[in-house]
Amino acid sequence: MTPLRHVPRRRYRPTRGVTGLAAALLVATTAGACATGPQAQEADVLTVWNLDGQPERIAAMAQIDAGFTAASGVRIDQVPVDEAQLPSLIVSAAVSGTMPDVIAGLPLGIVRQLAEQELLDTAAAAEVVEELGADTFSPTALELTRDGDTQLSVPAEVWAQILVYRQDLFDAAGLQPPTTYEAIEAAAEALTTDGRYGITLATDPADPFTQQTFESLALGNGCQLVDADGGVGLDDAACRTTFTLYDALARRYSPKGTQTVDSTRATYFAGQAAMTIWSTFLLDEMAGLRNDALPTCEECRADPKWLAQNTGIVTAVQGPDGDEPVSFGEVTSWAITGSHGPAAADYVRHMMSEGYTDALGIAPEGKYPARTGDAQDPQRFATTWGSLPAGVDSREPLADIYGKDTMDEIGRVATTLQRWAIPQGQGALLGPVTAELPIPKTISSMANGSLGAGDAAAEAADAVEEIQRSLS
Amino acid sequence: MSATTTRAAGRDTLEVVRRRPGRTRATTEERVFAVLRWALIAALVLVTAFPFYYMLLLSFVPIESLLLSPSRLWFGLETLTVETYRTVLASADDGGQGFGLFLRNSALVALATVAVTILVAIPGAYAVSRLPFPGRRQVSTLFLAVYLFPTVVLAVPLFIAFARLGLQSSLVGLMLVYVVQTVPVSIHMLRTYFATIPASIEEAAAIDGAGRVATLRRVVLPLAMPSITSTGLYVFMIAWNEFLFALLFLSAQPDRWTVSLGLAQLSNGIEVPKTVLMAGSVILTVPIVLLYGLAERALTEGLTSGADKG
Amino acid sequence: MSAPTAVRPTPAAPPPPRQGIARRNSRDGLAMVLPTVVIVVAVVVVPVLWNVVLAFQDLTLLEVRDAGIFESLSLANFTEVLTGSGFWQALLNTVVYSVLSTAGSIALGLLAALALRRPFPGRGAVRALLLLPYVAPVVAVAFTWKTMLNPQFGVLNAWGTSYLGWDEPVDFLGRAPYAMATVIAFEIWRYFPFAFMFITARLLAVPKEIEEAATVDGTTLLQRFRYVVLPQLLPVVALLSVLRLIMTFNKFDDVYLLTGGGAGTEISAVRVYDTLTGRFDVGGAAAQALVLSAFLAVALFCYVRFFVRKGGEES
Repeated sequence: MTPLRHVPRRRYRPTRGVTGLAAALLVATTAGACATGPQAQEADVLTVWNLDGQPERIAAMAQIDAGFTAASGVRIDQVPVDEAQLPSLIVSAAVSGTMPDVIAGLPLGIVRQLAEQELLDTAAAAEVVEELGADTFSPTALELTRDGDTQLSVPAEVWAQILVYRQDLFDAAGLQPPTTYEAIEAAAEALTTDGRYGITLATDPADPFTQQTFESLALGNGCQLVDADGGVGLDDAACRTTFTLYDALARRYSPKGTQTVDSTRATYFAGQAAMTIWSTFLLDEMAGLRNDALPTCEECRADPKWLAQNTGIVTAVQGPDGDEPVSFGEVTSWAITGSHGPAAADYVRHMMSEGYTDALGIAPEGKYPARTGDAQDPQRFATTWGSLPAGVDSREPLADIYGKDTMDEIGRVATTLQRWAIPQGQGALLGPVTAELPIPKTISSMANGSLGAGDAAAEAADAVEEIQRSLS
Repeated sequence: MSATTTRAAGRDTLEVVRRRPGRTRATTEERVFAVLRWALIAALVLVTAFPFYYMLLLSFVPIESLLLSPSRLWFGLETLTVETYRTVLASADDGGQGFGLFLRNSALVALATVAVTILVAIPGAYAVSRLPFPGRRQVSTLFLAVYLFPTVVLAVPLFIAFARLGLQSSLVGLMLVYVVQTVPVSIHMLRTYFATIPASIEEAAAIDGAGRVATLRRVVLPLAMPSITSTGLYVFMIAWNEFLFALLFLSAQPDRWTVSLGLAQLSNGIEVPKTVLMAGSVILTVPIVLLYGLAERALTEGLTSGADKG
Repeated sequence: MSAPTAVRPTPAAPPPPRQGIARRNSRDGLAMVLPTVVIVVAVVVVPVLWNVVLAFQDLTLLEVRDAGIFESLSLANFTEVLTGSGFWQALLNTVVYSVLSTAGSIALGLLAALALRRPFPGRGAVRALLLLPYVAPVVAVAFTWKTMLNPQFGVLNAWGTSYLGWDEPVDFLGRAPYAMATVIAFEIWRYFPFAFMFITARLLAVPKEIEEAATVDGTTLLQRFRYVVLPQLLPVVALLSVLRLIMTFNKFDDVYLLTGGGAGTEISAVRVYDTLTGRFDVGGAAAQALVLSAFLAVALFCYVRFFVRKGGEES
């Protein structure tokens, strides 16, 4: 800390010696650096960054990989990667030339961002899709992973953002299922009583989950991140309506304080809220199939499946300005990002065919097949998916718990889901918007009362516009 | 300067004394401040110690107990558990979080940083304190540069350079960055100490025919050992606690995570109870506190060396 | 360790008796300081210079690797950085954050040093304890604070709502004005020990005689502090201010770990990080960092000019 002491007194004039030395070193470092160059990796090992990084899922992947290794001799190195840190990892890997060969479970926003940086081997992705047969994929999933004619990545799995609600409470109060803004707000108001909230809604400023929740409500009201003319739409009338709804729900009918991805689930599981919006990954836990996240409501103690049996599921919501109910979901992809395109393509092809059922089986509640079948049976994977047992500590097919109709409805989200910005050709916005979280930040301020709904909409729009400018 | 200031201050005081010789006021004030002083000390102790107590307490409590009664500051011995520590320390294969490995990594990086920094800083400090060489003053200004820029700024160029040298995502690369972050302070700490060693001792050794290196090794180093110890401690502390560069360099290599990074990753994980997080925090903190407890005096004296010579 | 004294040439350097020795001294000196210079130049100076170049280029991540130094230079990054509102807001946040944290930590450190000046049983233990926040790892203490302040199960809110009559839990890290106050409080808590340590060391060297004489003459405690002790502490306080200001201005970990830059706490270092990792905008990040460093350099220059000079004139 004390080199500072030398600042005040004397004006600093570098002697020729020091400058020369620095220059010489600069040259030496650069020259030395050029000579070494990045080491070419052995082609018999493929590095896979896996965003689905929970230890038991990585272990399950390793088993599936063993089949590929046995057939091809190529070993797979699975690296679990946290989604929040993926962007910084990509920066360091891209500039240092150490990109992995494949990234698994990549959300759409980051796919676009990688495409923008030209980090994707789109030829390899196109080859995989073509060989597997483009007609065996869900057209929606393919569309969302395409940029014009370029296939950016190989869509693998779909999860949906769903609104779950307490069927028993709704029935008792004679309420309509929460499929419209009006019904949601009415139910939230009616069911907020002593010891229970009408809804528990994400307000975490630091988690994309908050934005996903918002987008799942926004789409059904025609609220778009980017409007038809390519401008930012968050400040339009449709979005203001969504912000107003979110504001009312979060401030009046949802628990105080920041609601996170964990706390919303915990509150609903404890029977302290009548509704919540979560991803389909919630379904196995709600059925008591995972011991470290069991439902904790009073009735659940006697019967761990009680909550699941008394929960209704809504996959699409409609707002007053919307034309129809719209579903929100995420399509996760295999992205081929390394220098071993052909080997990586072989691996992805394997994971999308021989290994596909097993891969879906790791967490079927959040992995609906984006490739619904193969040449022999166009519905093969979709059908198998319905019977895959879900859960961690005990396993059971979800259709047995929630009913086949509900599960079919969730499956349909794979073909009906919509997303912001991609149809308008501005998918590149999604990465920065997900990383900088302008919408969760304003939602958080709105929820704690320091920002009105209108100002929140304007502030979010400003922040997104700034991102838009920096990308142009 | 201190002598002049003292004299000036003394003159002021005398004038004041002549102007207002309020003896009773002095005693009242003294009493008030005596009370305030104890209140302040108590408050400081509380504010400082409480977070550490809370960290320790929560690390032994099952998460259910915390959620049931968040305001409790003591839980009966029978509710306490060490399950949290088992979870944190066990390797990933055993369903744990693998902190055992992270502890090893952190220790390796920190110890290597200490060794390299000291090895580099001793001659540097000696030269700066003893030997007039051209550019001596500029060298000190150069060291200032280390702290003038946000560390994030160094990241991109360092990624590229380290990648070309094959050092990215390696503990060696991380160590190099830590060495740079600590060398300037180390040189300062050592230099102030070297300056207190009378030159005559060295001259005697030189007359006996010992070369520069021999003098440094046989005469100066033994005398400077206390300062070297405290410098080493400081360097260890910085390297052990560092987070940003570990985050930037090692995130993709779970087997090379340091404890700080492992803990930050743990907090991102889904379904990690806060109590487990606190157990991880305790594991991260304990080695530093132990070391510091053993050598608190040395560390503070080393860091503030020179401060008493106003 | 006041700045003015420190620039004196080190007294221990012996005057060279003969020309040969002088030459040998300077050769040895260069050789011995060389490893440090090499490391600092390679790991700090070269990256910083490289960064200057990057600030003038608009490159994708892949291009950064191979681009030449003088390739496609432009001012685009700077216009973008300087015209966006985000940068200025972050800069303002940074100034508030660093000035208040610095002032707070030095004030508290000073109070602590004065309170612990006179010996009492257990002083050594208290002193050691007070230094803990400074030596403890930032990740661990940041998570502890986060847990303590959590609105749902944090102890502070639990107490506030049950004993202090708060209507509802306060979201200390998630709500706009509180979050900035909280990160500043955290920073003060973490760095007051640093000021405490330096001021305590300086206090040891304040000669007892004048104070004793003044006491005998019936001065009050406050007068003795104002006229005897404080003038002696000013140089070390000035130095601490500069040190802490620089360190806090560039600080990243604390805010990143506590709030991630949300709820009005986006300081520049966090913003640079976000620009780099969120937008993959290497040029934009470099340009912001460059403007920040320039701002800091100018601020420091003014500070040194107006405060340290003035203090130095006394000697």
